[in-house]
Amino acid sequence: MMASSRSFGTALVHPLVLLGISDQITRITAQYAIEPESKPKFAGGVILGRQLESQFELMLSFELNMPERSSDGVPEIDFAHMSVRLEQTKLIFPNYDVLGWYISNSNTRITKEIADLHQRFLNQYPSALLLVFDPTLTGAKDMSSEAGSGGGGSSMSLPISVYETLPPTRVEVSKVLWDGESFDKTEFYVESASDSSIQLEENTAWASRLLPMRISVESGEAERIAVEHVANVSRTTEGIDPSGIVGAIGGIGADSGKASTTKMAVFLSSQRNALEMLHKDIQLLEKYVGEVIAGTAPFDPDVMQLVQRVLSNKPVVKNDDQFDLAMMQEETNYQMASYLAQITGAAASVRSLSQRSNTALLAARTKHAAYVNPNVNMFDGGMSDMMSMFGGHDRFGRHGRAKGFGSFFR
Amino acid sequence: MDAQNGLKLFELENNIVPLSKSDEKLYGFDSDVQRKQLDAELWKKDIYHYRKVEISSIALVKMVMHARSGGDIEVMGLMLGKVVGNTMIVLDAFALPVEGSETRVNAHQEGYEYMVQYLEQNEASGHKEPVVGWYHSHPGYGCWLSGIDVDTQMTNQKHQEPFLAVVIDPKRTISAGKVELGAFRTFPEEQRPAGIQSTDSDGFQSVPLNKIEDFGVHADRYYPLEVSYFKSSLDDKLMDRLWRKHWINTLSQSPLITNSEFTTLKVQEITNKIHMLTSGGKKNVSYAQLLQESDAIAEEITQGHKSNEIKKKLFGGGQ
Repeated sequence: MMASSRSFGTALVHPLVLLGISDQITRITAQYAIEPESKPKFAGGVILGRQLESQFELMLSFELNMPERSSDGVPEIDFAHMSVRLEQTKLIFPNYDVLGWYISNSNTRITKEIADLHQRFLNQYPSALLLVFDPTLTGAKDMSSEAGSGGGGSSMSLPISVYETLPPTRVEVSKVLWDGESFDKTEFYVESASDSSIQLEENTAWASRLLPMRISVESGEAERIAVEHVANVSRTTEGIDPSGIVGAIGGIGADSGKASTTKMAVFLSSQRNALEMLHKDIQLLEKYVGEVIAGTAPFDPDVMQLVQRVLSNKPVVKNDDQFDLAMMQEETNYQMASYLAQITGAAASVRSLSQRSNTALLAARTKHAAYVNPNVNMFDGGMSDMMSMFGGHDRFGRHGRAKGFGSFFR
Repeated sequence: MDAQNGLKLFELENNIVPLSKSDEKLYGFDSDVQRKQLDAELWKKDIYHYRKVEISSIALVKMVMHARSGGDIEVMGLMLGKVVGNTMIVLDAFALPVEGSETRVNAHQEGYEYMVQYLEQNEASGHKEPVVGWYHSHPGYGCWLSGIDVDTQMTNQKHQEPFLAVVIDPKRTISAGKVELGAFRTFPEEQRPAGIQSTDSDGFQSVPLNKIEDFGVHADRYYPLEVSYFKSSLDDKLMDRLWRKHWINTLSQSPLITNSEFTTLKVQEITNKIHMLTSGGKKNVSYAQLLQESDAIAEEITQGHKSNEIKKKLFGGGQ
């Protein structure tokens, strides 16, 4: 058979799965720092999701219990524990099935131990996927530099590899053996349970090949917002004082005052970052096209077609009256909305000013009542007239604003 | 022969994970330290003891996604974590197979068995943190505690301190494009601390008029906690890489279009409230709140417009 080096399947990885693995590793490491005499647990878990033809959507995960075998310290999967957890998860997410499992390693490759575990997992779930997570965040670089494996450019930045298990075939024994130099291995096989009905020639074994899949990130609406929140709003733990003595409550008020300006800043900087990424990607494409023209890079028809399509799209919005009109309407809408908000703000300030001066005036009058010439009452009348006028204005302003606001979006 | 070589890769002891000291303190669980915290029972001396909440990235994403998966139905779950000083730290969360309707979420009977089993299994896979609270969703009507929520929370605080209530609004989360979440604790019956601010002190909540009665009646029985979010240094690095995939979403979404319906709704809501105020209506609405609401809407629109402007400059063919 032709040994293609890349799987046809795509793994759509949800950020929740990645964060779950990251959380598990962080906990284990942190716990080990507190209890250095204990042996750290292995970070592994089950991945659930949906499969649509050759697309695997990795949506959820839960942690596996992986006790060590007492004889040689090699981890084992606690399948009893797993089935209980699976049952529980199914109660809440009945539409998700087991797709495979994950383990962390110091790169995203497969070692003998991982292959052994995978073999055991395959006994329960044939054709399970295997995700290898690299918490050092360096392994991904190795994979992308290696021709033909990993998802190529698309997986470059993520510290994971996802392997698909192909149906078992007959292969040379040497491919199944692990001879210590696993770093040089470019093809991974897992030996399947021997089937007596199949005759094996000498020096061959019955084994499944593990193929790296193309990886892409997928997220639902709510997930995207939550992840963006984690990326932009959450602080790293550096800012948190673990000794727990939190400053006076006064700090809270100061924070909420800043919030409105920083919200805009956060928004603008995220836009800026997005544009920066776009710029980088365009530069990359430009460089590639240049290299193809110069003959130094191989011609990839898929990429070229995409570039062509993007280029031909560009003039569509140029000199489009409809588009300009819509854009202008939107701009007017926006300006109206911000004027209305400002007027509301002004009305509120006037109202609070009138209230305050009323109070001040009242206080001053009672305090100095004895010394004040009783004939100055004319001013008093004038002032309260003004107040009621302000009050009227204020209501008017708010009222009018809300009306305008409402009708204009309807 | 090769077992040695392979096994080393599994090991976490050679510090392969880039973890900072503060990560270790926050994510690790020391049961002795924790017991000391709990034995002091500080919440009994000061009913206003816990002021802050720290929520981990995984807990946040899990809760928001679970809340969203419920659609219009209220869903609920529990949070795991610990307490440090006057801060409650939420490290993880899990869903319970319990659904509520409207403001009625009742966890006690149906979810109990599931909870016990889950916690058992969770401990087996190495989680030592106890339950520190519950969360539930208010799809579309903001983050606050209803009368029933207050009663539930009060019972829990009586028997399971330290205990926290978190409310998430998945609908507003989607429409505002940012996480809408509130964390609350109740006061013991017939007790109020001196000089307590009401719920609007910490961020405002615009509550729909048809719920405002329920909101107003119970608003002084609980207080909001300041919520912040944290991520481990590993999460942080992972996020950097995820961002490579996410920027397309940031650029391609148009908040003006996706939110238009909700914006209109909110403006109508303000109009209604102003009507009520001018006709000398109820006390649960304040001018300051209305002002904040209108400013927030204006800012959302400004952001939407700015992103459109940027895109026009970029793709509109230089004008």
